[in-house]
Amino acid sequence: MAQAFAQTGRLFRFSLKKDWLKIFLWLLGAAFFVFVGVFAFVEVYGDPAEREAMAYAMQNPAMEALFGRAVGEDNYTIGAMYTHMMSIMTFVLLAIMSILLVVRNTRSEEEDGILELIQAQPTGRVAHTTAAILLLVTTNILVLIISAGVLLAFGDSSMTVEGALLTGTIYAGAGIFFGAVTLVTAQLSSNARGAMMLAFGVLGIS
Amino acid sequence: MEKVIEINGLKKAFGKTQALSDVSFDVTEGEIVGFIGPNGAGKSTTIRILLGLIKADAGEARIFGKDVWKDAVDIHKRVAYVPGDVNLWPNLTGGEVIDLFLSMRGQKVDKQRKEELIRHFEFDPIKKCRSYSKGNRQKVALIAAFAADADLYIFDEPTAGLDPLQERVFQEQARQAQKRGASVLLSSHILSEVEQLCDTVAIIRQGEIVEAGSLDELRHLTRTQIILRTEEDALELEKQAFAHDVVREKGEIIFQLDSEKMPEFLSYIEPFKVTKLESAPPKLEDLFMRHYESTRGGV
Repeated sequence: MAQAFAQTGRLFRFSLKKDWLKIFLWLLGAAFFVFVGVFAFVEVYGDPAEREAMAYAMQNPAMEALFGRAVGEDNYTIGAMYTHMMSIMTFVLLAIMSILLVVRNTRSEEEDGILELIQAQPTGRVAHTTAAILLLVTTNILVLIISAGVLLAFGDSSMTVEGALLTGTIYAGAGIFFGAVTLVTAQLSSNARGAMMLAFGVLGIS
Repeated sequence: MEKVIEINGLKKAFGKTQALSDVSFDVTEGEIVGFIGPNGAGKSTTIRILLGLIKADAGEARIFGKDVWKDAVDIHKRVAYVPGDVNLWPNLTGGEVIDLFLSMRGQKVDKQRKEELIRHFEFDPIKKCRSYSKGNRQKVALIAAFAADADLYIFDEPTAGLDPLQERVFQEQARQAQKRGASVLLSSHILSEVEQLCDTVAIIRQGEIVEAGSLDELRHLTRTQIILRTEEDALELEKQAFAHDVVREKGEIIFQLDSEKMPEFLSYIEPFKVTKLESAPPKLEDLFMRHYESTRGGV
């Protein structure tokens, strides 16, 4: 079995080398997205009365359908509000990032014949895919750290360390989940475009 | 001599399409073997099985005496492969990709040899792969392969996209590899290339090896083209058993002669006072065409 994974590390380092700029820009984007969210919430809903009004609005069935059942409505802090309202959008953003990343590193390379070249080298049969998974997980862990960091740095007192870490973990989990979905669709579809469409389809349904 | 590649009764089907129905041939150490056949005959499928990229349905394939599917990683340490269509990561330079491929082999990179190859192929390694033409991407794979000092080189139509000068560089490098004691499997449908480089060929058609052996052996099966001018008209030539496809043109007779019937032909034609006699050696093309035609003839 060890043979199947031969050279995974080298391939992983190599994929970092070729993709670091894209990943860096995505992470920057994600960090900015979280930052803007937090900043706007602190700015707009600074007044507890406004938050209460919003909490009331959230009980509207339509809003519930859109964002999910609100938590902690009796004490609707900025932290609770942020996690409640922004999560869904951040999920989508990170899911898109993960889907693109996985397709780029698996199906597209297979299609271009690059995979063939790599597998003709002394690399294990699943090394290439494992490297892509490692890249996906690494990227999403960075998302976790960055988003938790941003929340802590710019949020108000209602955002605790645990809360921030939890939010970051949920984000990373969403990214990894959709990355994993894409790994499956990459096998199902006959080309990269199809794999991406299928994965986005799953994202749309969820 | 040791067998480097042994293939025995290989079969592979993709869904309902039978890509390989019976492929068997060997490559001996230090040999350059041409693997020829029309497009879609199963050349690339065979090579993919050899590289352990896909699994054969039946039959046996061994490289260096090891199973190509189970021991792929071990085998690949001593094998260099160049496909016919090379695609690379657009945002890396050619030099970086060459270094990656070489580093994956786990050997020390012979820098001098790499530089030498880059010079020979007139390749610019500092440009991004995005800007390379097909021929230049091909060179990346070729340079990485030849710099690797492998024991077996597998080429799948490697010169597609190279200009004739670079093609010659490729042939030269392949010969040098042979001198080092390496073996080469060269798949191609460009027959002149195979003819120049190979001692042995295996011809594949519709997933089956139809002929395998040394070039000289195979030529016995073919006919020689004769161009003839005589003082007295050899009207009876058409009726001779050894002559085929006789054409008369501007006082010359052009026909195909069974190669082994040469003495009979010479004694027959002597009385007619020959003024011109040209004979062209049988080309691989003829060999190839005969096999190709036989599919339509249902032989």
